Amino acid sequence: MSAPGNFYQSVRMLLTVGIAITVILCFFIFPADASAQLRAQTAPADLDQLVHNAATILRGNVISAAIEPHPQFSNIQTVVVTISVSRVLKGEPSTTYTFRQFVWDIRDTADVAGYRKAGELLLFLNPNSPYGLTSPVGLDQGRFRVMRDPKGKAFAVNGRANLGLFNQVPNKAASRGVTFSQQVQAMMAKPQRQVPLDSLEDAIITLAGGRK
Amino acid sequence: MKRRLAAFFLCLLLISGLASAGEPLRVTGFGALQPGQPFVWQTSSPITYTVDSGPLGVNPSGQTVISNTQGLSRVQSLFQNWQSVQTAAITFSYAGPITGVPGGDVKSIQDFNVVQGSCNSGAQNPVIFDANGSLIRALGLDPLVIGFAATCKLDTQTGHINSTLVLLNGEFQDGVTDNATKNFELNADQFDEAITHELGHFLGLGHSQINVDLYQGGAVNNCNVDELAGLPLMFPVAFCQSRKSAGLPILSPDDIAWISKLYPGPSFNSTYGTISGFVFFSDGITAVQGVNVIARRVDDPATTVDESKSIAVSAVSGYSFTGNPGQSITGDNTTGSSFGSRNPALIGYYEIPVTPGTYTIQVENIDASFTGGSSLGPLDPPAVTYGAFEYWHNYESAFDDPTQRDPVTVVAGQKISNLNFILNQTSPRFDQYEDGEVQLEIQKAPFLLRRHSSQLVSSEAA
Repeated sequence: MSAPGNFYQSVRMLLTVGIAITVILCFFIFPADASAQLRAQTAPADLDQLVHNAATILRGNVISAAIEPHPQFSNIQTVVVTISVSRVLKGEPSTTYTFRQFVWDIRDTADVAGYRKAGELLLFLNPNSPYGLTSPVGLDQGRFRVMRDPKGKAFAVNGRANLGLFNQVPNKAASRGVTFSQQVQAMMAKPQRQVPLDSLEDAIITLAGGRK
Repeated sequence: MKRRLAAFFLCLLLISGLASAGEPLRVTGFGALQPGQPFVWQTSSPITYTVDSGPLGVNPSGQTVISNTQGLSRVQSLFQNWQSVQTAAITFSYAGPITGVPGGDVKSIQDFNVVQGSCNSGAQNPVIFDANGSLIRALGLDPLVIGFAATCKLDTQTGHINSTLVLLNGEFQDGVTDNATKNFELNADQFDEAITHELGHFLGLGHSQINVDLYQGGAVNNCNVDELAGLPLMFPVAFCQSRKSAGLPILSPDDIAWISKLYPGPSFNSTYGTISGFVFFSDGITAVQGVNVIARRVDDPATTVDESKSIAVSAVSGYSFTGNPGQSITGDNTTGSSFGSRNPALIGYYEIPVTPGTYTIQVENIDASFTGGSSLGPLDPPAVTYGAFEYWHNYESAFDDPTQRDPVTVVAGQKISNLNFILNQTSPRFDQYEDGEVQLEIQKAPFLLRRHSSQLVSSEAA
């Protein structure tokens, strides 16, 4: 049996390690972003549907977000978001992208519908309506937070923890003659709550290209 | 021994399931007459609502699938789901067609703008039928949106909800599934449950997390029935088969308990007891906000149902406290959120209404994916506190066995307080608002020298 002093030392050391791990994990799992979207019930969508339904798929950082009334319909509140674009996966290439989204609940205006400090996002955006409005496909489902581990490897997670994201996707793709890379196949075979960003983007490009 | 201890502590770190709980959607802030109170409707008279005078569902050919009469009946039935809760005092009244647009039929974004304006002014609580999903599309939303409830006006002084708008996407009920045109379908039960969930928000209910293992385990449309029974309708995401198809009532015990808590009827106090307490970091002093606390009924071996899964009620610690108190990490909100009390005594406080019976109480983290529209509790994104997965027992400490539990028996009208948790192996007060540099000083008794630390020591001898 250890002497009590040694025991305390051991516990202290382990707690220090534990705290360090906690800090690292906290920064990894919870970067300082406040992703938020609006409360609504949505039907589930898999990645194939997200890609198919989106007019624009891009990754980037939110550089501004502001609540303002719709220019034509003053009773309708909106958030205008500008993204500094890192990569466009579907749609026209651009370095910045600005869109306007309907905000239906006044309680969501305080945090600018969650875009104010959203950080790096991978967004699947619906086509603009004739009134200049859009939103992520399936709301939380088409909005992925991009997180990086201490080594810089990027992961993505949507508002449903990627639940059902790859359901039936390999079969659907196969029926269209679309084949995925081995990396993507591995990702889809063992879906995780957060998936490697590079594999996810590979899958998106494959699916987008396969829909001709 | 070091390896064993390291493994033990790492296990404690890693088993902290990512998880969150039921309570009001928003509580009053510092400007209110009574800060920290749920936003609720005045119930001295029925809550009135107006309804779209058009059909609820129209197919792509323009044929009516669900008429206005059927739609109106459906809406009344969905409100009735909440009004029927016997321990809640809440009533609704249909006040006729939506006003302000020709014929009361909201067909275009122009009509929607007018009706939104009247809701913003508190003039009506409109229920809009988007019969073919065209309004949803005009608003830039996609056909996957089943519906939403939108609070239009709040009285931040009295804590009353003044007006709310509800929109139902009838395209989900048009009898057509066509991926090419993005026309999706739900069965009537699934649709009704989705809208009843939205009406829960209409009433001021927030999201609730119980049996989150179903969600984390990836169960889709095939949930264990006992777990589904305990899964709140106000769970952030719908992913199981419909409750009705499983032979379950539309509201779970958590939904019923919280709507009753927000709108207590005459029988509430004689039907419910209350469990309350605080959640603390490992120092046993500093309160933790944002941890999900669940009271689960102890399983009765004489029944075929697992009551520990099917009867459960939850709350998030510190749900009455402001979610953004204003500090250096969240940065630009030095005065804090306009919602939530500033009374620090509420930071780790939880209170759970339960029906009479014997319960175990447990804590867990809110699932990390529940942010924004799916968020619950006062913090968004949710805070993950490693070590926040354990049961309550009589000798809580920072080094106890997380699986040890002492049952608590509650009778009607009883208020059992100070069922306090001390989380295991957290730093004293590290949370998302601090820099993580705080070091834990090992506590002397009573936190360390309890039975379980002795077991650790003796395990080395073995």
